[in-house]
Amino acid sequence: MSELLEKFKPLSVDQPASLSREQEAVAAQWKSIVLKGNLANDLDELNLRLRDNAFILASTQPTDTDVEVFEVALPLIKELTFSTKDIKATYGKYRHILRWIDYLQRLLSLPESEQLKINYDLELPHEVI
Amino acid sequence: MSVQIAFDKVKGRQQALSLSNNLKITLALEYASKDFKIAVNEELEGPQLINGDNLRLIDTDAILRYILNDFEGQRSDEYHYALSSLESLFQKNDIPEQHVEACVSKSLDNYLLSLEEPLSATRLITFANTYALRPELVQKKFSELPKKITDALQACKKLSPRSSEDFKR
Repeated sequence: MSELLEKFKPLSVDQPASLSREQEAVAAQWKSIVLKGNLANDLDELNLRLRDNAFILASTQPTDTDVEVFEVALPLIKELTFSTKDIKATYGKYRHILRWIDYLQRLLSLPESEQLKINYDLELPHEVI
Repeated sequence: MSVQIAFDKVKGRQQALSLSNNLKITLALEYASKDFKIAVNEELEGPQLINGDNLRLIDTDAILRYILNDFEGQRSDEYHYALSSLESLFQKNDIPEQHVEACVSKSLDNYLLSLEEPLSATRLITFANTYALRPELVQKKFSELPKKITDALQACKKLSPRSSEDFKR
């Protein structure tokens, strides 16, 4: 079990008692993407999923799947925001992932040095859906 | 239950990736229970499963698991190997032949030990990934394949673009 998952388990976050077949499939999808080392290619899909749902499994609280994907997504998004010449465009493109990262890094009490520093003052263009 | 499914028709992809994706979809169609109504969507380019507004899957491992309703074995060594060692090779260029063959041999020697029915989703995923990398080595080990796998391979061949090797023959 990863360090973050170990940190997540004892938190008083209500986990769904059981997952529906659809939730199981979505969890399997993101586990597969992470295991293949393919998350960087599927960030748009993750952003879309988090646009329509607060958390990956469309649950009201984060699940193990969120933490497992977060662990890989955090360094990828950090790298993207550090290296971009157009921070507004990057924030705009991945705004839903940023919201989700912001929530999870606080929930998991990540040390400041490991957190993604989010600029809350940035004015983003409206999202066109 | 009624769903739409689309094959991998993305151009310019590694052939092993397209073959593995399409094989998993044809396997899903072969192994789907009769109460599952599956319509093939010819318009979509990438591999996908759509169930109304509720569900969209773009990962063929998850599509296969969903249709078979088999989510077991995701923490097994076999599944980790099938994804992190075999499937991860599909995305990379210029991998030495010897490395690919060593990975396939390890899969055949340690994980793809039997193809006896009933087959789990994990085993079908291991089969599809191993076969996509080196079909001849899989065929050498399994001279006879289960009928559903043979049918899935036949259906898959009709989808996959022919390679230059095929034209030479």
